[in-house]
Amino acid sequence: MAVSLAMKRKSEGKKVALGDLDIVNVYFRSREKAEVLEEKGIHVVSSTLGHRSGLDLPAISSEIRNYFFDPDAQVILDVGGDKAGTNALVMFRQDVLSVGYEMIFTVNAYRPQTSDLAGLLYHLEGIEFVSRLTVTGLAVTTHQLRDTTVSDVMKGYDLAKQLSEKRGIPIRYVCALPHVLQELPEDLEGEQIPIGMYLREEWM
Amino acid sequence: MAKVLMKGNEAIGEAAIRAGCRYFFGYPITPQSELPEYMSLHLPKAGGVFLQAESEIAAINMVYGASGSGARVMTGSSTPGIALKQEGISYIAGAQLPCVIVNMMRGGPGLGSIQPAQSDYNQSTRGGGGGDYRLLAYAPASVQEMVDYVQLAFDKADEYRNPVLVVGDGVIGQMMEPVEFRATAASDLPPKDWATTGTGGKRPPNIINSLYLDAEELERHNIHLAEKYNRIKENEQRWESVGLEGAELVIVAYGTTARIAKSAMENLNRQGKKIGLLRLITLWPFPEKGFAELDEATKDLLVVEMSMGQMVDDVRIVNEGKRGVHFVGRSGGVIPSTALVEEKILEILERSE
Repeated sequence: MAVSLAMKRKSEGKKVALGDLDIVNVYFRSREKAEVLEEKGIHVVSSTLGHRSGLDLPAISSEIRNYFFDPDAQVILDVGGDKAGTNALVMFRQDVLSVGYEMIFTVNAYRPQTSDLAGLLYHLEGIEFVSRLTVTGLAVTTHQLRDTTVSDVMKGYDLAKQLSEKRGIPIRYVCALPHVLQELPEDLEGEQIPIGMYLREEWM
Repeated sequence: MAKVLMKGNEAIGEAAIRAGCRYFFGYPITPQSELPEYMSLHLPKAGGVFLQAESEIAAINMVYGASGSGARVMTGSSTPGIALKQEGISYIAGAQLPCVIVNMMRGGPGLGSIQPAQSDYNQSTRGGGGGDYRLLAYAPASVQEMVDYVQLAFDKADEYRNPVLVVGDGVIGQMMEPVEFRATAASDLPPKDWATTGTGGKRPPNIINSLYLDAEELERHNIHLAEKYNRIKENEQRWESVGLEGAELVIVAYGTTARIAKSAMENLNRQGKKIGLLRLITLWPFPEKGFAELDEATKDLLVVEMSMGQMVDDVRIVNEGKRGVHFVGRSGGVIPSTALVEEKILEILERSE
């Protein structure tokens, strides 16, 4: 979602920087696509030691801070998974608070741990507790990879709606493959983000 | 049950619990740490025990103990961690105990890298412990297959009273895919009347041991084991073949690289080539029967691996010099591209013409 959102913002003519804060797991991280993103003009910041995928180190470059204070830049921070992954965000908390932020919580109804309202609340509250920041919006990222259908996305949307009502947080994004987005009902809340599946090779 | 999205490592944990595994002993290592993590969270809820051992060696010996008492037990690790477990695996095989061992392979040798690899083929099929022993070794190629074969592995381990290895690589461990947990068929397994569960004063004690003081008795034990391994060879070979009929060239691969190879095959077949795929599902026993299905028209075999070509020897043995045997792969944690496989195939076809 972070890579696809960055791509969309860039296509709208914005100056975009993507900070990959995932230090929990070295597989399937946004930085793997740094070359593709940089070619499009999106600056990627990850470890102080470069984007190499074999680096299993909790090292994040503070270079991303340069972009926080650039009024023209749209900064996207890709924070790993759950509350453990959220620890990496804490180092930027003061900056994030001073420049203002949106914190997006993704809703994937097909992940067993977030398949119901209780699971979503557990993770959302864990992330807020660790980051001491507030989730300001929800993103529907419910999918079945290339086989995703409208009903899969709607399943996620309906679950996100429950969370939205429970916590008073708006649905800000609905993410899906471009052809699925075209078939979604028109009255859905939130901006549509076409998912590029950039991290999946053709055989995956 | 509806499909859920799970990472390979998480799905293995869930599959094991559903297969009745109640004990997991392990030590974390990338890229399989989500497995012990999953077990630490979910095994206690299922009435089981997760224990992080002080080392891989300790973990495999805990598996030895739990298995000896008749429990369904699992351990998991990645390449260098599995290397550490070899002695214990040999003991477990020698004592004829069932257990399931998961290896999410990463680059080697030595500490290697944390990126995906398949360079434990020799370790998986020949073993690293001492003595005449074998492990039934499954190599699933998707998260769904991981689930299915982990469940089967527990049954086969019990059926043959032997450790069963399930190998994947970092990609399968980390990749998220939709999976379905199907109810497993009730299997007709023998009672574990050998387990150390207490005599109740009704029978002599069961003894779990791999030490023999009498050479001829140990030889008789080895002959018995060899007969068992021959039965496994006869009954448990598994493979998938795609487009063998009329194929000019057949790719031989397993796990992640079989998926890459399949994509390459489909791309070339769309261009009018005739390429087939023979995917190993069991690494041991090596699916010799699958090779018997090869078409007369097939002149070349291409082994694709994330190693320097460890499987090539077995393909040469089964091939008996009939066809050209070629290899293409990447190692050290690099994943081969479909383009690399396609280029190699075109190069071989051009030479054969």
